[in-house]
Amino acid sequence: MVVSQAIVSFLYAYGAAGLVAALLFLLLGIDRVEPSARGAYAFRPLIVPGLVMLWPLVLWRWWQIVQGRGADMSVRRSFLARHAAAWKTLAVVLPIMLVAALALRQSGPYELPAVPIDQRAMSVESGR
Amino acid sequence: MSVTLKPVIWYRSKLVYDGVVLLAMFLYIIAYLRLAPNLQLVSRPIDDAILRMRAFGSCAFLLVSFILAIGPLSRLDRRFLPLLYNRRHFGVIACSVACAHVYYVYSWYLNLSPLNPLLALFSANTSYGQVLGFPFEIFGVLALVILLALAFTSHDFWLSFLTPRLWKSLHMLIYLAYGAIVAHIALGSFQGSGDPFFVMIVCASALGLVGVHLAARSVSRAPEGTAGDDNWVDAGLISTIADKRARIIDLGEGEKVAIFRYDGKLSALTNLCAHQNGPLGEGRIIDGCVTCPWHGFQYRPEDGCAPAPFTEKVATYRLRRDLDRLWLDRRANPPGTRVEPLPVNEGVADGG
Repeated sequence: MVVSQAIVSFLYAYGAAGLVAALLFLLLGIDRVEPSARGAYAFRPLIVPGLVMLWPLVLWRWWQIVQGRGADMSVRRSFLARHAAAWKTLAVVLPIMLVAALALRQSGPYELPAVPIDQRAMSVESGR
Repeated sequence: MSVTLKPVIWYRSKLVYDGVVLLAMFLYIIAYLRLAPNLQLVSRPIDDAILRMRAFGSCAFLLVSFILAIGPLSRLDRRFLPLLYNRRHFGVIACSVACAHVYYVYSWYLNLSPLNPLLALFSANTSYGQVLGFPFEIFGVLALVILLALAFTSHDFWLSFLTPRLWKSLHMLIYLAYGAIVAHIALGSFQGSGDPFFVMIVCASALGLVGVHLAARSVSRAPEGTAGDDNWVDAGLISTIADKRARIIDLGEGEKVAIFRYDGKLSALTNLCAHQNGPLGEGRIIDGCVTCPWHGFQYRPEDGCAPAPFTEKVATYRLRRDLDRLWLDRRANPPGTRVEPLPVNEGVADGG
């Protein structure tokens, strides 16, 4: 319970910090770091959930761009290799997971058939 | 492909796409609510709330499975290509369905708890040391967090702000999410008094998805050999490249090149779109430009530059020919470098 309470408290604090970071970014940062956003306001509500959820990443990118370290716009060829590695891993893990889950599954009958209360009382009576 | 960011770019084909996805989703939910009670191995009817949470949960699983299958299916059969064009909206819909599943879980299992529902979620079952009775909810939470992160960052702003490299890394978490979803189902629904029909559907979907991905990997053509100079690889016969289409050459280590044939010429570009790494070689030449099949980003084939006012650039490659055989220089030029197109001389038959 203590650990769970700590997790929940952390999530609330993280969300509150995210709201503050999102507000700051929308007021002070977005027009400086993203040229396509200048003069465009309708899309901004759509990015608020992402700003709140990923605020450490947002602040880090904001700081990077301000420092002039932005723009690695290159596309990584290694993504294709990582994509292949991901599917090879899933090709092994998923069948193991499904087979193990079915092997561990406790066999039925899952429930006894429902018996009317009166009938149960009668069977108890007859057993006496 | 927009200079100024807009909330959502919708046009007719996207509206039709979204409409079909939503209609299919609603039909599935209705069918599940009506048919699933007859398939349950229980003696008493399932509660409506549980039925609804299972309907939305299974729907989310099937949607994510289908979304992940679109890419490899398009490589195996071009008729699936139109499904690629609006996959982002599809993903957001899948995330919304997963949220509906969570809403019903919350309102049924956690709402009556005297504890805070979030606290109840994390503290109701802490048997992490055993397989049977493992708190499978944690896998669902992990998958939902990832799906939300991907849906929240699906707007083009994020691609530009985070850079394609970081954005793509973030969105590759979908594979972890899929593994978590399957674990959530295997340790949850499979262990209860579920219906065997759903077990079969889940197994077939997960294993089928792995199968199509592995099958699609074999489709990309590997280079046939090298000439005396190791930097030039055999790219096959010119005559077998269809007009306004491309052949994709796999150079290994994840590097692929798309060789386009158009207007009696040949040009080679990287297969990766600068937007979201879409497979350019699966697109075609439209209005003289290579057009990405995913979101319609365009590049001039001779220099890999997007037409003005857009600024995206992709890498180009040099080509040479030996009669009807084509050779590709595996050394990529910097993005935007002009390479004189290779003419397709007479005597080379039209491709199919």
